[in-house]
Amino acid sequence: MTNILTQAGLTQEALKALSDRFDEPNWLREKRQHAFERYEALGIPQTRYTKIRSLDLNSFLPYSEASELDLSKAPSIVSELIEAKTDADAYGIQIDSSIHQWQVTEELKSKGVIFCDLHTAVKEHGELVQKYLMQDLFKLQIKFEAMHAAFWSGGVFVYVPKNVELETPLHMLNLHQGQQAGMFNHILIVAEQGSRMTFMEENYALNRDAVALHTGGVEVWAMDGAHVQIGSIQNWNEKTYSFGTRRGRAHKDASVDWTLGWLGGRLTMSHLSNELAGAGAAAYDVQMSYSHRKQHFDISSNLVHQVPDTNGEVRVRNVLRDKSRSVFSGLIRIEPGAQRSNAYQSQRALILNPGARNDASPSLEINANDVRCTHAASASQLDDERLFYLRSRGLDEDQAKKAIVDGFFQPTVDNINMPVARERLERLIDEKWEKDET
Amino acid sequence: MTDTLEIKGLRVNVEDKEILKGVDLTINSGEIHAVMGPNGSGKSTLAYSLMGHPKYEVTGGEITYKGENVLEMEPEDRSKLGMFLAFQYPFEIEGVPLTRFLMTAYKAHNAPSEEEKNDPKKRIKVGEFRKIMMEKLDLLKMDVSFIKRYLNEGFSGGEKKRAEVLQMLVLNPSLAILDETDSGLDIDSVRVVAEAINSLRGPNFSALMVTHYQRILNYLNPDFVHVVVDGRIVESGDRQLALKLEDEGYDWIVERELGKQGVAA
Repeated sequence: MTNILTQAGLTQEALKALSDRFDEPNWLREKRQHAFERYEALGIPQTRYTKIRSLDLNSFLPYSEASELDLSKAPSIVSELIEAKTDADAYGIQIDSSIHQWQVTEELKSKGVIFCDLHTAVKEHGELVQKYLMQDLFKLQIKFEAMHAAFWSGGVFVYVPKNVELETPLHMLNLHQGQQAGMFNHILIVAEQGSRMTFMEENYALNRDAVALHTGGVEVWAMDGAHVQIGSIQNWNEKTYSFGTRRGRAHKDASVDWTLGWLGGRLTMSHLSNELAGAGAAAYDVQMSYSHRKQHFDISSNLVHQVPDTNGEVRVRNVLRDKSRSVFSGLIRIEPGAQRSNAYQSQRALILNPGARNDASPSLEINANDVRCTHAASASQLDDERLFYLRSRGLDEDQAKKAIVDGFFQPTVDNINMPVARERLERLIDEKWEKDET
Repeated sequence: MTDTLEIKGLRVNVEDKEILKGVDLTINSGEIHAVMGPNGSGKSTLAYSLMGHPKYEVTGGEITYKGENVLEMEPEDRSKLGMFLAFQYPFEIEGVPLTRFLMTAYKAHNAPSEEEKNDPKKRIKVGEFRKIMMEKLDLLKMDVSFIKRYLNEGFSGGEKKRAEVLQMLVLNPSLAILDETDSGLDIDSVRVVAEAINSLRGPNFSALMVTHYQRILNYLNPDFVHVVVDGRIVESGDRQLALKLEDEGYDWIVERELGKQGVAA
């Protein structure tokens, strides 16, 4: 029955085969079925500049079992990372659809922390998973969100009990290897009251030429007083279409703090939404993209202030060269009665050459009268006088440009709460820059 | 005498308006020259043109330094030749810590040549750079926290000037061009900055100091003082000229020049 999964096509039959493959309970089968119906009903979203309609969604595999790990074509930064011994307390590697490596220390387990792949979690922690998995945070209003909810596989369940504070990041690596792979990993994070944790996910292609469809999802539940930081680096190959849905909910005095670094993919569409659901809740959404050639990043970010006394911040920065595109749409919604909400949203683009385009549409929807909301969007080019200032100190033109670009990204990079991942992001930016300048 | 800066008949336009109308100036190694003059006379234009600012279009004349045709060189190559420009209004560069920037510049200046590449002695040592920077911070009475801050971002006017001088000290130029580095500094800061500049003095160092005030010259003790009026050097002398300008202002010299132009017309 499972071989239907190795044939291209996101079909009803494939959906059933997927549930059978993991011997899933009925509640989950029903959930997938409902999502599948939404997926079928919804239209392909539009984005300026890139035609998604021409993408044949049925040309991708619904599920690719991990074949042998093949590092022969992997960039050195990725093979080094995989081959390096890790002392992470919790570390998982997924290749295409399935889990390749997994480790979690006894110490973490003894604290009651759960860090396991999501299929295992459904079996071993069914009630807990059912309570949170794609409940009202996933609204199934976007085709790719529904696709993900129907076909998710792999991924991780993170559960941090009350008042447990994790000192080191939980780390997950998603690797793309196979031709026409469909990747639908789901990350479910539940941080109980007063807990504190960092989750870092990194997404890399092992092969420059294999086409892939990545439709990922992340859900973060930060209960009262919990603090969750999530870091993400995306460096898929430039033949990959990537659609991501990220949802966070911060309860009373809790915070959800995202830092997303976008480098890869042909087209990336990302929807991030944070709900501020309790007084004193805070959400931070910090993102950067560096695009070249014909890459296109379409980033949307929502802040939903549901109750009074909440804080939200969105800071997105994009550097563009060649004929690349970035589109930002941001929404701050203050729901009725959410007084004393404090919201800030900004998008800044640095355009390195005239062929690149950046669009920004920030918007506000304010239904309370005692709030502070500001938003800003700007696009600028490299300034000759600044470059001259740096060059007058002996930096050549390329070094001067790079210094300004690095500086532009620095506040975002600094927000990643895992030094080795931060260094990798810097190195990826360096390598991409060098490739473009030669 | 190869370290001489020679400026001959330099003419410079800014946005199609002629600002420098034929400047001649020779600065020999070991000499400190002060350039004074009323606002808008072209003093700063001279400073930025020497370094190759993209907005300053050289329409005539020559600049040679150490025997090289400076006008054909990129700003970074002028820097590596030993020239340094301290900006009157340094730019704020977000996200670039002063120390990292200075390390990059230091490396650019001290990069081993092709032949030296495999010689471990020629490799740039981070420790050496750090040591130099700490010494220079001390000389400028600057706190170490300063260098971790983003380049000039949120610096006060005085801090920006000190940061310029710090960069100069670390890069150790043979020709310093200082554009009103003393402006906006209190008396104590002027002394600190002047002492820092004096620390570079020697037979292989020369400087061109653009200033409005004679007070920094009390400490710098320049060998020559020049007055720029309407895009030309119209008067040159020694310290006494600066003192006279402080007493009497520029009116006498401007009137004299305007009169001369009137006669010529």
